[in-house]
Amino acid sequence: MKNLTSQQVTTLLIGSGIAAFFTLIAIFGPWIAPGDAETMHFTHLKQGPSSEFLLGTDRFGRDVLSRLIIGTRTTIVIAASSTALATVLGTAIGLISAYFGGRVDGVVMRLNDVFIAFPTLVFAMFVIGVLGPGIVNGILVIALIFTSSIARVVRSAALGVVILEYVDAARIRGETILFILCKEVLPNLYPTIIVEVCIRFGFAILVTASLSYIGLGPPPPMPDWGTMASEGRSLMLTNPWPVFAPCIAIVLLVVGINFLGDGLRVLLVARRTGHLGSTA
Amino acid sequence: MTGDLPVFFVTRLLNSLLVLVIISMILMGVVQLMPGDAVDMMLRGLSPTAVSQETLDVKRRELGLDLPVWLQYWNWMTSLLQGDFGRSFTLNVPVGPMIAGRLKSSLILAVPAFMAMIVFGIGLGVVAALKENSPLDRTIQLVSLTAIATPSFLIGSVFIYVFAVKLHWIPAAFNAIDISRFDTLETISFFFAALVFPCITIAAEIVAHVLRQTRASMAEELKSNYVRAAVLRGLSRSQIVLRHVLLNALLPAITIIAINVGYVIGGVVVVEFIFSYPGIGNLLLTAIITRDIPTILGTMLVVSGGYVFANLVADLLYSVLNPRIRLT
Repeated sequence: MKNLTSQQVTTLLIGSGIAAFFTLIAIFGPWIAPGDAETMHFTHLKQGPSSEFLLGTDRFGRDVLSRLIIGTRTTIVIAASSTALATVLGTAIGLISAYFGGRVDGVVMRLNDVFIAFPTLVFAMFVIGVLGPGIVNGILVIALIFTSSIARVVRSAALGVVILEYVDAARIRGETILFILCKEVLPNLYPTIIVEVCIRFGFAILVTASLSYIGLGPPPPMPDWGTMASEGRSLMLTNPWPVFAPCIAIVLLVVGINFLGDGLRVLLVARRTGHLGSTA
Repeated sequence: MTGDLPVFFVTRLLNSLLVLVIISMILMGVVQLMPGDAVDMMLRGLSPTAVSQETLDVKRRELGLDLPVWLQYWNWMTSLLQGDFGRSFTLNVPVGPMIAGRLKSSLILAVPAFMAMIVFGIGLGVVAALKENSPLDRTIQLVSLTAIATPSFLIGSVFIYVFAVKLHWIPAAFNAIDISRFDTLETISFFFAALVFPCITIAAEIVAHVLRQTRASMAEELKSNYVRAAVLRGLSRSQIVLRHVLLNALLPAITIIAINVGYVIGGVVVVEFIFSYPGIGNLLLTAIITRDIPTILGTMLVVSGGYVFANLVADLLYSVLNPRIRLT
């Protein structure tokens, strides 16, 4: 807080502003949307922006703005749930791996190598393609892939903490492993984890949208950003808004999340070095 | 310490092989969970009532789908070791040559994108770090962040929108076009549509990734004590950078490049879909839709194998250039 430059504060504010904006839309979408996302206005097919339809209509005459707003929830729910699940699992695995070390660590890291060896998007495409598209499958597969990268980050950060004396002290006091990991080790890792969560959430949005774009998203009629862009692409000549509107939303949200992550990193690191004081 | 090198090489090699074996098991396992198998898809898809259970069973036996999983896996592995990827269920051709052909098409897109990633990603990353917090650095940072945040299907769609739809320079889809009848202008525009634009689309994202990671590692390096010491010794900035920092900062770049091979592969898949490009990504997508198991398994194995190989090469290269790593 003390060492932030005005530019870093701006980054943080813009980032959290954008994140808050989209979160509100995701929560209150159905009440904010000007119209119904599925109603087909057959007299207003493929229209440009007008006062009635602010972002125009798609080829079925559906209101692009309403679909965009309703789709926000689908996209964010998939990305946020998978990131949350991966964060919980990855943190647990990373902590255990760092704390026990030795053979446990060896096995966990070997398994990690396997999952990291799959290119994210291709693996997601394979699993969802084989098991069938759907929100739950989407969340699970993205979570599975991100778990290994979060576990890796948490482990390497935790390795520096588990060797500290107060962890030994807690062990000698006879505290349970759960207590040591959650109360003694974990709080030191929050800055690392929070920044990693922001990075992963941004990726999750992109992976979710890309999967929908190639036709492996949640099944219709549930609108989501990637599906909207994909549906509109054949008519981009006369009717570009159904493609560009969701794409702009994606870019805005992902840039915002990255700003937030960058800002939080500076904020949390500044606070920590403030605590440690003399080491610098 | 040089005696450790062969040991390290062999350990890493075995490790990668183990990873590949586990990957193949996961692939086989996931395919078993598939609801509705290939036979249903092939025969029932046409007319659900006309096909009897008997016909389905015969077809299943013919394709080896009635065998237990471990036996299917064993058969797959033993033929793989003889270089045989099996026959495609739907196209009834050997999978191996089909993958090889598509892989070649994909590499035509991937290799130039990969080169761009190394040259521009590392080059601009180093420049940005040297000019840290200057307007140039901020611009590079903002542009690269936007490139990462932009889904590749948007970049691809914009290319198609502007050059195919608005300007009519290139055909919007080209897989059904007869190249031999083209005049020069058409050939050039085809070249752009078929190769240059998809390639730029893939490169945009991965250049940005490598750039940001390189900048971070280089900026950190510039703040280290030995650089401060060199400044205090009165060495010029260019001397410090060229003689000391660059090499240290380029070591992590090897790992960065290897990690980003995954993004190249992912990018190729989406870009092939957007541009209807007949590469390995479209092969996989079609195989998934038609439940063509041997093609799915083969493609996935080749793709993950390529990624594992890239990481192995990076590890080995790193260990040759930086002996400290072998101790851990």
